[in-house]
Amino acid sequence: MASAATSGLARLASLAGFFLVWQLVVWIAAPALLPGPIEVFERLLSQWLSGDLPTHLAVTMARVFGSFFFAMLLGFALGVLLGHSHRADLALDGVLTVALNIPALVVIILCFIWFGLNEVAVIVAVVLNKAPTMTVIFREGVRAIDRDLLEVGTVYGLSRRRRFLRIYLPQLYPYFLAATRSGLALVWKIVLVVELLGCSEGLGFQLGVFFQYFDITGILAYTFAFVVLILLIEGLLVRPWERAVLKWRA
Amino acid sequence: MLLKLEEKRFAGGGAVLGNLQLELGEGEFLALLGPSGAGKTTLLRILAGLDTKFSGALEHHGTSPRLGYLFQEARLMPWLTARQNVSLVVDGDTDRASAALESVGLAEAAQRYPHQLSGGMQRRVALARALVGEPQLLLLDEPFVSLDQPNAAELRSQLLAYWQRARPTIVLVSHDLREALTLADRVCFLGGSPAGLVHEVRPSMEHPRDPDGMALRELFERLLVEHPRLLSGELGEGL
Repeated sequence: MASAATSGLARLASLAGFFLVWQLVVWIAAPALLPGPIEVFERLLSQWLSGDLPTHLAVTMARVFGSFFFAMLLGFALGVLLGHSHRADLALDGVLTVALNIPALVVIILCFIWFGLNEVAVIVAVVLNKAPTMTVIFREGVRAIDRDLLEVGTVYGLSRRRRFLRIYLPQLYPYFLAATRSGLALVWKIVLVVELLGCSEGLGFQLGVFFQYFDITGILAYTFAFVVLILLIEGLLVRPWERAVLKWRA
Repeated sequence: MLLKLEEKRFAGGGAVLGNLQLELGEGEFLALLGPSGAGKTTLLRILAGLDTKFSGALEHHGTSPRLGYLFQEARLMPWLTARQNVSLVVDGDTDRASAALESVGLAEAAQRYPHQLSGGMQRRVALARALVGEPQLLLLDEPFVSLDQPNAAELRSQLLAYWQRARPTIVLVSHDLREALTLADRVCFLGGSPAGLVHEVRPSMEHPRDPDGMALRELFERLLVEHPRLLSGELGEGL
């Protein structure tokens, strides 16, 4: 595990170096439109203590996880269907291509018009944007399923449930990981745009407010909070999960 | 069990197996021989119930038997350790899995993953998995092919010991006549197109048989003198 510790240190050092360079640039050149990291941290702290930042962050996170969950569910169901049924794949392939390429902004605007400025519209907009890529990922996963291994389960009389949980699903774990990685990254971004356009709460909304006041420090402070949160999710949830699931490859 | 096969063909192809009747007595050790492409594996899959798209009938005495199937490839789950692979088929019973691994000489490898094992060791894990559930019908598809001689000899004697102890019905697919004569009670030869059973011999020597012993060699030579093209699936008359 020495290598893990070293790579962790290296990551920390590169981050520290980045902040150092940033602060030095601000001190030396004193640009009007770029506050230094210290100023940003101070703002972050005051926003956190005032309760504004936690409120907006919580609202955004709820939207992110909610829409991520439904996108995953829909993407998995569709991916399994398309992966197994050639006919369904033929029938839906065109729709899928369109769904993959339609601009996120179009879907968001249409959802707000159709469903109104509410949470349903937010979730539907994000799910419609994200589910197609997840569908494609799971379709590939299902196509790569090794039928020879499933036969082993049949021959030895394993129950359906056991075959699904112990032989079928494990073959899809790498695809779950890929879908989670790419999914979370994209869902965050879409949620912020949705909030900017049609919500009165959340990080995206607040970033819009800062934009109107040209408050660059505020924008950077919120961005920073957001980045830290993503790193925490990656480090505390996704990575340990990945290690557990892909342990056998080590 | 009794297989009454009328015909087996794959989609878009000719018939692979033709009219064929195969009765398996309880506790019988049968070897199936034939040239490659004769449909040996297909026949085994039909017996296992994996392939049901054939015309004919597969009849069991009572319920269908508990199966053990050693595929041509090891077919281990790469994400499970050797022991987990074995215990998978006995509802996670770790003790039985350990015992089965020990009986194929792999006690130390229990915690390793398949990709950390040699090809021969993977086969042994697969054999342990086939035996752990105490199968009533054990199907073996060229189990000793591509193993080195000592490894193959060792596994053969383990298989024979297991058969003598537990008396499952065994169907062994092989292309090695000497191996078949060494192990089986009854050797069936598959041949023709579509393939059927062309010949049958019942070696009656005591177990364990010495593959290089007199009795076996005599039987081997007599067979090949009488039917020189038997291993190609033709019964044609010899000298």
